Amino acid sequence: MFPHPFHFIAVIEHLGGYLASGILLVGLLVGFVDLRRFSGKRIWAISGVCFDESIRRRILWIAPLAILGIIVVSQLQRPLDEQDVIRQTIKICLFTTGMVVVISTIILACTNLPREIENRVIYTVVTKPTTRLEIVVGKVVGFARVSAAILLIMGVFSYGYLVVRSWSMQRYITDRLESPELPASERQTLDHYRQTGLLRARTLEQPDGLQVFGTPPELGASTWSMAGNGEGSFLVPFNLKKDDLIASDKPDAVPGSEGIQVMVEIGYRKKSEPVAEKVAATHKASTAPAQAPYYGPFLMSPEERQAILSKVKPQPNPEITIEVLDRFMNGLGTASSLLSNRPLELLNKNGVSQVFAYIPPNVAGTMGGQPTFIRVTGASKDAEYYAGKNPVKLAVPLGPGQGRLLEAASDTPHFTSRSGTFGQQLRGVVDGKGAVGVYSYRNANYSGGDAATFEGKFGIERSGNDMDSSAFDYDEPTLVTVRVRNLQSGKTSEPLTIRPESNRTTFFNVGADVVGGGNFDVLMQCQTPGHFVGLQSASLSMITAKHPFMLNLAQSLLILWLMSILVTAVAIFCSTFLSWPIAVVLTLLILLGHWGVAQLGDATAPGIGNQIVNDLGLTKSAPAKAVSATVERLSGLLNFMSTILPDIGQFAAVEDIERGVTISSRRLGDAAGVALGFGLPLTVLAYVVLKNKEVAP
Amino acid sequence: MNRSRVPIVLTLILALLVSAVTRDWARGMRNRSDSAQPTGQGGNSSLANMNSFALALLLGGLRGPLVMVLWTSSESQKNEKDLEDFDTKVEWIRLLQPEFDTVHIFQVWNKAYNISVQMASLGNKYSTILDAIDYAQRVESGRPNNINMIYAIGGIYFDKLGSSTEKNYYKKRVRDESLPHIPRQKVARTDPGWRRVEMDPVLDQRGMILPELLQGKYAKPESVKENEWNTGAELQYLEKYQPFPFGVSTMGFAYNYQKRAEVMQSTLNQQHAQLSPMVVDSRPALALKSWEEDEAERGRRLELTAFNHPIPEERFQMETPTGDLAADAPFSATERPNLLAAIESYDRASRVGIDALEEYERHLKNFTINYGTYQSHMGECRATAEMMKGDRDYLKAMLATGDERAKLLKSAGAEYRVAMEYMLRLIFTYYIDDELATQALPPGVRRTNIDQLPKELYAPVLERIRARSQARPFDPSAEDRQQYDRGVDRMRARLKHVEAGK
Repeated sequence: MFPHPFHFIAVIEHLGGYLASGILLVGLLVGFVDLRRFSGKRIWAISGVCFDESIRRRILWIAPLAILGIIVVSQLQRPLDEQDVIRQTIKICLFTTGMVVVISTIILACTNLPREIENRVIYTVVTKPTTRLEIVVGKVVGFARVSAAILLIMGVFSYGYLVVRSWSMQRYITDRLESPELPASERQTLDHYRQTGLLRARTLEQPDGLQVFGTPPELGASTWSMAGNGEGSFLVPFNLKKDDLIASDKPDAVPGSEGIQVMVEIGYRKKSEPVAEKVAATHKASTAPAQAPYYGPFLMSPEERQAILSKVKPQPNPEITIEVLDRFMNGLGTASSLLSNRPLELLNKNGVSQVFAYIPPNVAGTMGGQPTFIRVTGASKDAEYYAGKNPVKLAVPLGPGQGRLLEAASDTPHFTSRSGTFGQQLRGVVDGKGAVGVYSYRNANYSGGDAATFEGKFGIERSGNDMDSSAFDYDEPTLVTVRVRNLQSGKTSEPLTIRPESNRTTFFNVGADVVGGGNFDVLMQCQTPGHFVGLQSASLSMITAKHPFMLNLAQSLLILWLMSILVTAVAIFCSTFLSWPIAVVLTLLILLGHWGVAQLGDATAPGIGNQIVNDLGLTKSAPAKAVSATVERLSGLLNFMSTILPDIGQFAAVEDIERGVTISSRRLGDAAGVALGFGLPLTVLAYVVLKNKEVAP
Repeated sequence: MNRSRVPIVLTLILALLVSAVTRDWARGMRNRSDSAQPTGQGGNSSLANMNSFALALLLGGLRGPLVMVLWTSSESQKNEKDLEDFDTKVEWIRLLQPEFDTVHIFQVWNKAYNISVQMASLGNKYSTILDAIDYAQRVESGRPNNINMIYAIGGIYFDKLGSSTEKNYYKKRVRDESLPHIPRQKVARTDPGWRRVEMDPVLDQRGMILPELLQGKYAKPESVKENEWNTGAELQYLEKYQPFPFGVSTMGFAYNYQKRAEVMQSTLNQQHAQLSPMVVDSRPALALKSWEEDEAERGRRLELTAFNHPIPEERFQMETPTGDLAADAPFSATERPNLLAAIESYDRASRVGIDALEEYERHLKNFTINYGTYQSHMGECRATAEMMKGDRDYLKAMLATGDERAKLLKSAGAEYRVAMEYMLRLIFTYYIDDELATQALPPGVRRTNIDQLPKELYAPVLERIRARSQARPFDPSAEDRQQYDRGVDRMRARLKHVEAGK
C-alpha cells in the first residue's frame, strides 16, 4: 500500500489534517440543508441564552476569587530582582486567568447540554425553527462570550495590578541605585530598568552567528587566529556521500576502507613574539650591516652566538590535534600523524605549515552519508594559531602519493573556543589580549533612535588556577569590554565595559551609527584574569523595537481566548453523547493527551518493549515476546493518538510576555490554527451526533 | 440563602470547630508524651504557618501534584542554571511541605551550596548563602526548637561561610555586618521585592548582643536540672563571650547554633534526621576549636598589618615575621586600633580555646570513637590558647610603659613558656612519625609516653627532629608540623625580648 516508509510517515504526520477534512466533508454532506438555513441572528440569540444562563449561575464570581488568589500567591514570591517581581506576577496572573477560563469553560460547556436535555429546557429551543447546527454553534459562541467576559475582567485586573506593582518596584529601583554599595554587576541592569520601565514589550533580534577568535579579526580579513592551550579551534564542515569514500579503482570496497588523508594549512606565532617584531628581525638578519664587521647572514660573531645558544633550550614545535565530529559535535575519532606516535607539529616557524595526518578506516567509514566536521585545535600553550580559507583538505588515497580530493561544504572555517558549563569560554586577560567573541549581525532590522540597546545573559566561571590566593578575599566583578564594528562604514564604537553576573540579564547601549545598515559585529573580551565568560549564540540579542505592554497583554489574552474556544468545542462535543462527569474527564483527556505523551518523551520511543522486559527480568522467550510486543503496540498507539489530539503547547500565552518580548503574529497564528483546526471539526462532529440524537419527542 | 442549605452550613461550621478542638487535643497529647519538650516546640505555632495553610486552602486537593511539579521544575531549572523564579518555587515547596524536615535540610543545602556556586560575584554568593540561613530561620520560626534547622544553620556558618574557598570574604562580611550598620536597602522586609543582601546586625554600639537575641523563651524545668538547657534565645551561647567590640566571628555563630543542636539532642532527646548522634555531639567542640584558630589568624593578620609586614598566603607563614619584634618596637599611631583589635582577638582565642577543651571532654565522655584524634585537637587547643595569652600580653606590653610593661612582659614570658611546653609535647606526640621518634627521642621514651621526657630535653629533642627531618629525602609529617614549628620559633624569639626586658 505504501511503497516507501516515508510515505507512511507523511500520512501519519498529516493524519489529523486528513481526519479534520473528512469530518468537515461528512458534516457538509449531512448538514447541507441545515447549512443553507444557517442564521447568524439565531446563533447570536442562542449564544445570548448560554451567556445569560452562565451569568445566572454566578460564573463571574470566580473572577474575584481568582483575583484574591493572585494577590495572595504573589505575596509569596522570592524574586531575584525588581524585574523578576513583575515577571513572576505576570506569570501568576496569566496562569490563574488561563486556569479560571479553562476550568469554568469545561464545567459550563460540559454540563450545559446534558442539563438542558435532562431538564427538558432544550424542548423550548428545538421546537423552534432552529437547526441543530445553530444550537451547537450558538453554544460555542455563547461560552466564548462568557470566557471573553472573564478574560476581560481578569485582563483589566492584571493590567492594573501590574501597573501598581511596577510603580512600587520602580521606587525600590531608585532607592537601590542611590545605595553606594550596590554591586557593580547590578547597577547597569537597574539603571536600564529605571529608564525603560518594568512593563516591557520588545522585539529582539538574535545574532546570525558566534565565533571566538584568538585576536580581533580585521575587517575583510582572509586569515583568522585562535588561541592555543586547547582553548581555540576551528571547524570545517563536510557533506560526504558514502560513494565519495570509495577509491575509484576499487568500486566494491567498503566506504572509507582506505582511510582519509588530511592536510591542514595552519600557522602560528609565539605569544611573546608579535608578528611585526618577527618580520623586522628577519629583515635585519638578511641585511649586511654597514659599520660592524661582516658576520655572514648573522648579526653577531660566532662566539657571541655560541654564548647565547648555549643558554637557549630547544623549544618544541607547536602542535595541533585533529578530530572528526558528527553534526551534533560528538567525536567520531581523531586523525593521527602519518609517522606513528608523533604529535601533529607545525614545522614552519615563519609562515603557514602543512600538517599531514591520516583518518583511520574505522573513523573514515562513519563520515559518509552524514554531515561531519573536522575540528582543528591549537594544543600548545605558548602559541597562537592562524588559518585562512580552505585550511583543511581531505583526500581518499588512490595509490602512493595520489589521492582524490574531497570538497569541504564551506571554504571558510568556523572558529570556536573550548566549551565550558555556560558555552564557549572567553578567558579573562587584562589589556584586551585575550580571546574575542564575535557575534555577527547581518541585515538586522534596527529602527531605533540614537542608541541601540543590547541585552545579554552570560555565564561566568572562575578558575582558581589562574588566580592568586587573595583573589577570593575581595568581590572582584567580571569585566567584559564590548565594541561594535559596522561592516559597511568600518566604524568601531568606543570600548565599553560591562559587569555581567552569571546568568543574569545585563544591558548595554551603543550608538545607532555603528548598527546602522544592520550589518555589524559585536566584539567581546573578558578582562578579569581567572574569570571565564561563557558565550552561547543566544546569549546576546538586540532590542530592535518597543511596543506598549497593554497591547502585548491583549494578545496574550487573545491566545487564552482562542484556547477557551477549543475547550468549548471539545466539551460540547463530549457532552453530546456522554453524561457531564464523563464528558469532563474526556474533555481533559483530549486536551491534555498530546501534552501528556510529549511529557513521556523517550518512554514511548521504539525499543521501550525490550527495556520493560529487561526491567521486569523476564527470561522466558514467550512471555518476554508477549510483553515486549504489547508494550510496543501500546506506545505506538499512544504516539498515534497524540498525533490526532490538539497540541495545547501552541497556546503559549505566557512565555513571551513574561520575558518582555512582543508576542509575534506567528504565535497568534499557531494558536488560531490549533483552535480552528480542531475546534471546527469537533463542532461539526458535535452537530452530527446531536442531529442524530433524540433530545425531544 | 435557601433554607434547606442552612443545616448544611451549620454542620460544616460545627465540623470545622470540632476538628480544631481534636487537633489541639492531639497536639497536647504529643507534647505531654515528652515532658522535656519546651512548650513552643514543633507545630504549635499555627499562626506562623498561616502562609502554608492559606496556600494549601487555595489549592484544595491539588497540593500534592503541585509539589511534584515544583520539585521537578525547580531541580531542572537548577541544572540548567536558570535561577529566575527558582527561589519562589523553593519557597512554595517550603509552604506546601512545612512538616517535612528532610525537604528543608535539602533545600537549605541546595541554596547554600548548589545555588550559591552558580553566582560569579562573591557578593551574590554571600547573599545566596544568607538566603539559605533565612530559609532555615523561617522553618525554625514555624516550628521552633527544631534540631535539623538549628544544626543546618550552624553547618552553614561552619562549613560554607567559615571554611570554603571564599571564606576570607565571607568572614569579613559576617564580622562587619554583625556590628551595628545602616541597612543597604530601604525596601520593607515584608515587601515581596525585599531580598537578603546582608546580615542583620546582632550587636549594639558597645558590642553587646542585642537584647532580643538573648531573650529566653523556655524556663528550665526541674526535671532537667543536671543537663544544659536551651532557653530558646537566638544567641544564647554567645552571651558569655560578649562584648564583641570588633564583631562576631563566623565560627562563633557556628558554635552557638551547633551547641543549641547538641543540647536539643542531649537534653530534649531530639534526633537529627540524617546525622548520627555522635556527629551532632562533637560539633560544639570542633566549632570552638575553629573559632580559636580563626581569632588567632585574625590576630596575626592585624599584627602583621600594624607592623607593616605583607600578609603571607599560608597560615603557618604568619607566625615568624613579627616574632622577633621587640616590646619597644615603634609603630604608627594610626596602627593602634589594629593592635587593640589583635589583642582582643588573641584574648578571645585563648578563652574559646580553653572552653573547647571542656567541650571535647564532654563529648569524649559520650563517644570515645575518635578519642585519639580529639586528644590531638585538645593538645592543639591547649597550646594555642596559652600562646595566645602570651601574644595578648606581649602586645599589651607594647602599648604600655614602665612597670605596667614590665608586668605584662613577665606574664607574657610565663605564658609563652607554658605554651612552648604544650606545643613541643604536641609536636613530639602527634607530628613526628615512628622513625623520626626513634631517632630523636631518648631510649625508653616513645610518642605514647612523652610525659616521661624530662622538660630540659625538649629543646635538644626538637633540634634532633629538625636535623633528622632535613636529612630525610621526604618527611611525611613535616608539612603538618610547620605551624607548631614556627610557633615555637616565634615564642623563642619573643622570650629573648622578654628576658632582655624590651
